[in-house]
Amino acid sequence: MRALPGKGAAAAVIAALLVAALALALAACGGGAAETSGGGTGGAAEEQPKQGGKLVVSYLTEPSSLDPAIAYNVIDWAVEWEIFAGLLRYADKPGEEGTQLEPALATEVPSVENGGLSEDGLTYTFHLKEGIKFQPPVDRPITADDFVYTISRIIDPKTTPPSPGSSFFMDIVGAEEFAAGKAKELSGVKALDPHTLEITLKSPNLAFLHILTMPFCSVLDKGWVEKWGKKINRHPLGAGRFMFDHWTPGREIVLKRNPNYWDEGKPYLDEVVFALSFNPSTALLKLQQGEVDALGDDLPPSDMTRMQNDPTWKDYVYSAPEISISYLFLNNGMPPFDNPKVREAIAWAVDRDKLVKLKAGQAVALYQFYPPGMPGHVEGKKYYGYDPEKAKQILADAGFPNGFKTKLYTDNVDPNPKLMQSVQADLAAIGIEAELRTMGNNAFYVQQSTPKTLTMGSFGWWMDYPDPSCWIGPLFTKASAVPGGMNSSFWWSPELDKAYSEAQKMTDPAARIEAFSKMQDIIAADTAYAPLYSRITTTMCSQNVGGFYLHPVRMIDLGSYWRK
Amino acid sequence: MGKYIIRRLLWAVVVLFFVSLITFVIGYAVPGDAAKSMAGPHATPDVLQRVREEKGLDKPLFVQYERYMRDLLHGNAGYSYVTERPVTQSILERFPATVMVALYGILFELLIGVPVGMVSALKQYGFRDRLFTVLSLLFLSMPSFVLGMLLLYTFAYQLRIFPLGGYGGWVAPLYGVLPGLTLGLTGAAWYSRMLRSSMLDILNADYVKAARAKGLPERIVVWRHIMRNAWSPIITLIGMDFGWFLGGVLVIEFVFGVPGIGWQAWNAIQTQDVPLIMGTVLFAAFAVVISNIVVDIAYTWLDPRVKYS
Repeated sequence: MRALPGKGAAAAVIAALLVAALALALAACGGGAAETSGGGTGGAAEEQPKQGGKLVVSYLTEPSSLDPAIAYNVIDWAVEWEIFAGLLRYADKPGEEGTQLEPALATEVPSVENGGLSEDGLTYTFHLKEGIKFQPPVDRPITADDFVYTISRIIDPKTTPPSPGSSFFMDIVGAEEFAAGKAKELSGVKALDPHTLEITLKSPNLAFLHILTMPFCSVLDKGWVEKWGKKINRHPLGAGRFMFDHWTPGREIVLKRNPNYWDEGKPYLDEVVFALSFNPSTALLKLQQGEVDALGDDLPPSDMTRMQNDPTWKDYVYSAPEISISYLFLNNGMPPFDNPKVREAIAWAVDRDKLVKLKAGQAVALYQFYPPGMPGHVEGKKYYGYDPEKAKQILADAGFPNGFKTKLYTDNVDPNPKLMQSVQADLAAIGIEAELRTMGNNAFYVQQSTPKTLTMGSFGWWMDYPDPSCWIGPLFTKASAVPGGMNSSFWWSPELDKAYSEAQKMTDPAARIEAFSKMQDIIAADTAYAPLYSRITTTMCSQNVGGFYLHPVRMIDLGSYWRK
Repeated sequence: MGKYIIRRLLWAVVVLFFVSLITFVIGYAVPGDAAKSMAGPHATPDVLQRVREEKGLDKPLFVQYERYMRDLLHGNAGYSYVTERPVTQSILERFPATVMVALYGILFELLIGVPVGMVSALKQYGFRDRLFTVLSLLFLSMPSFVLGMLLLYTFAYQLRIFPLGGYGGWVAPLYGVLPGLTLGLTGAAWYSRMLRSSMLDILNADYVKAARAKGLPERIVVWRHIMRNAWSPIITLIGMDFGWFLGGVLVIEFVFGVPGIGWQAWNAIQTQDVPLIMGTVLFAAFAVVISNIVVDIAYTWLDPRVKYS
């Protein structure tokens, strides 16, 4: 998905200052935070869910759009997961189970066994549940034609602005012609009857089911979209658990329970409120006072330590690994980083445990290319380690016994400059004198994708969906090593490109993941990047929330919580 | 006088023109690519090209600027790249929150700064004067986010007198008190120092001695003879502060969760949303220019010797 630093980091610099301010404020006030409430016994105790009530979640930023074809930010999706529904969904469960697909508006997840996927892996057939209606006031049964409209709209050149997700759907037969305006309709998506949808691909791609589950494919009512025109991005209407009530700019987005919701007994809440423009430190005070029930953003590190040591609140602090990777890109187009030995030396030189410490433990050191939680990740596998002596030796073998001078780039979003200072010191220890350069995240984002511009630097990637194809495709292929692409190492190999396209064609899920897992060997043998860590999200809920957990894909999952 | 105001307004147009030019150039000259931030990391070159054409980003900068200015003169400040909503609407719907904080800010600056300055001057080197000097230094040197967080923690979290951040519209004026007080305490420190020194200059003037000598009550000496002349620097400060506050004080808005135009502008900068940045900067510049004109006019009323022609 989006490059990592963008995630909720909008005001990270100020946030860091705020953290300092709060610490000061607490010191000055004699720290009485614990006095406000009695002992909590843990948010997710095994109790019966209760119907009714409302919960409030705080966020720092505001969605830019709630038009599923257009919206592509963390906060946009957080709201969209609640309002919209598609053919499939991720199970409402934490950990790995939460990355499993289950039917939503379709009757089953298509597979070769149930006849939903043709033997050649090209044709998907979805049967729709009957009698499911759009949210009021549309209140109309959803048909296969609605999905034809929804998917076509993502690719349609007349959609403005163009959908940032359109490239995901180019595998569909006729998609390129339709996108180029050469065809009137998207020939690969057909409604066979009101309850049967058929999608044909040009080449097999098992990840396509995940692609269909991204909010881009949330089913829409054509009449509603046309009624609102350009303003559709502020008037979402779908088939999800909650329906849109109102949006007060900069202040709140309020959703109400969808009376037409089809999943028996869910959701539990009558109302959910996204409280906007609250920095996490202020939001935490509101949470402790009972005005906010969950933090949508990460708990700032200093607050986290304080909360984890607070007897009242420590049971309400929740962590979950993010399926993400932070890495050093090593620009293959710029000497001496075109030398694989140099790249390997750097991968061995970095002390990742120190980075984890600098991130207050909110990360897991990463020595392979798939983070924990991503299928294809091999538990305990280490292609690299921290060994300055070995790194020095490799560097000498590469022809640089005395090291060299270079530049190390990062954006200015806290804590990246701090982390890169640590990397800078590690590199100095093996003789590489790297000058640290920081820049604004927008500029950095563009420059990392401009060939022969940045030598090495820190960057990150966050999953679009839990399938390794969304790792290999954008980061490690020839197709992505282009201006504007995300392959900031500009590294690719014919061997990996071949392995990737072969694996994409496989129709056996287990063999496919196995093939993806093995691709790591090719990448590691050439050290395309130096993997550093994957992030951990830590947040809090209040004593009012029942059933709290962090979903591996959706994170905050309001449809599963209830009010105690 | 009428002529003077017209001349000032014409100059204001010139100032705004240069502000727009500089902001526009900076907005696009900084490294970064607005089209790429809009189209997302997966955008194909075709899609990127479509975004560029749709927003006119494929045209030379001066053509883009000319187009922007032409639209602006027709009352159209463009659409945000990110939200696709009219810039004018985005600014106006967030402006009330900013105005509320600004008004409270000015109010507290005056309520605290003026009495403190007067006492300090009238009882120069007394205990209160010394105490106020120390306090002024404290509030002047304390970063506003620290002060804001302290006030929030004490008065909203512990004592629960005021709301814990946020904004409830003009029907809920309590939301503006703490952000305004944060601005006001820092400002009051300036005001009191300024007023103290301008009053001290006047205290020993002949006409004050004369007023006292002819037996006028102290109250009248202070208010009619001293204050009337000591106001000018304060009026200048009010004008400058008000203009500045109306541009949205980001740090205050951030700490207190006030959905004002400063907060919005910060988000716009993050996403290189040039139309929204342009709109906010021009709007803020306009506020500064207008409040300066109002201040200049206020001088003539305060001091009949001041005449513009």
